Amino acid sequence: MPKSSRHQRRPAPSKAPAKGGRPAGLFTWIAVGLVVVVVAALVIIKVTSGGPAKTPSSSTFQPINPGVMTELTTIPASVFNTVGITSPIAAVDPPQSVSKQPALVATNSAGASVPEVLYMGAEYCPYCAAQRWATIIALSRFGTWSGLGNMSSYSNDVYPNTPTFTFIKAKYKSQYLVFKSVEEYTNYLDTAGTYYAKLQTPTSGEVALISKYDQPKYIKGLTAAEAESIPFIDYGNQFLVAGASYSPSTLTGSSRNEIAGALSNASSPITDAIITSANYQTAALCKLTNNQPGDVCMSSGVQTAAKAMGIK
Amino acid sequence: MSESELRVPHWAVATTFTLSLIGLALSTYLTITHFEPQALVCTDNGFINCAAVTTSAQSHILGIPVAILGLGNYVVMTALNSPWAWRSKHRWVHEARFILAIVAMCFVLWLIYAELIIINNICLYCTGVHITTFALLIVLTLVSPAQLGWSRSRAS
Repeated sequence: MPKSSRHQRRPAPSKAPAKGGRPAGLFTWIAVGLVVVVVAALVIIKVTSGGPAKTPSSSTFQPINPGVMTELTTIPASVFNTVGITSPIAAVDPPQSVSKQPALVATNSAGASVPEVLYMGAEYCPYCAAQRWATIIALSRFGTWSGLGNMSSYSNDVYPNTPTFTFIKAKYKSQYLVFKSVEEYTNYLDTAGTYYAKLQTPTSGEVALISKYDQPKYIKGLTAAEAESIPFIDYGNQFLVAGASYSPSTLTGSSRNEIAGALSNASSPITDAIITSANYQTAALCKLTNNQPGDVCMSSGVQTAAKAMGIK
Repeated sequence: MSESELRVPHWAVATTFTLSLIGLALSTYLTITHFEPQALVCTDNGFINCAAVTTSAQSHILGIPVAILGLGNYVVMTALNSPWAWRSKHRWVHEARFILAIVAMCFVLWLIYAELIIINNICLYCTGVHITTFALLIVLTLVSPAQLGWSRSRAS
């Protein structure tokens, strides 16, 4: 068939293949019909089943799984040292140092005055969700946790249902540090449906700290509109964190058990992000504790983080 | 099969190519915003919440972001629906186009299920991709079976 033939390049409709078989349009009707039926069925299921399932609230506190607790707080030193501050997939920001500020101290259970670490966040907040993993791990190197609970960030926010923990009933015991936390809101809406249900109210002193330090003046890269955003962590008024140290997207698609289970694997990208942040925070905490305990503060992972942060 | 037997109407070529470009643009935007959620311009209140969808656990399948799968689909679909591909004498090109459209529609139905039933939010841009995919399927079911000799031509 010569290609140069105009007639043959544009064959008349009657020259088109008039094969036997199914009538024209049958495929279209079948396809449209199937799609419409499936979508209609989904819409009916959605409408008849009501709104989204309620996410667990703090009124139904769910204690952390003991296995997860162990994986979270007994990470091998080799993992901290292997990871150091190497997180090839997710960028990790270290705490920012502030100077010439009055020391933030509190009295520990033994009656000693020690540096205080203040966390302010909320259960709905996906950025707080990401931050808690690394903060819990860092603090576990200086003391012991109890009362941690399972939590997920709000289901209809960005990074929905990010797996994490809640500090609402957490207790932290350390000879070096005092940890205080404020979870201001739950991860579900109040009865009016206008905002998240209120949980804990910060003291006037805590409000004063976030009002003063969670500002562009102290946090590089923070805009005026982002002032007093959460999560906010004040490490003895010497280091600050405002916002998640790494993106919650790092945790997307992984369950709490999967994330915790991978913490002993230094080649996991999720572990790399969490441990890098934990090493940075540990370096900041070591500055507060005058490098105590020595086995933690002198470890190569923490020393690498301290060097990168300019801590002497 | 001769070249003339693989011919389809001009309107089908123009329509499928245009729809593919629309799908390519939308899926490119969704891929960018998958990695940079702050770049997403979309309401985030109520049932329509793009960020809740694009950052959900269902935004990955086997560790691969769905946005990238969508982008890959439309890169291939745009190539297969280009006027040059429509002129191809290779039957497999036309079979691949039709099969890909069916597979893509099945995947879209799964995504609609995920949005409506699991995530409880819908994403406007994703819906745009879904409608584009459905429209492509309609056009291709109108012309591809006859082109491939699976049904009688409308003109016969």
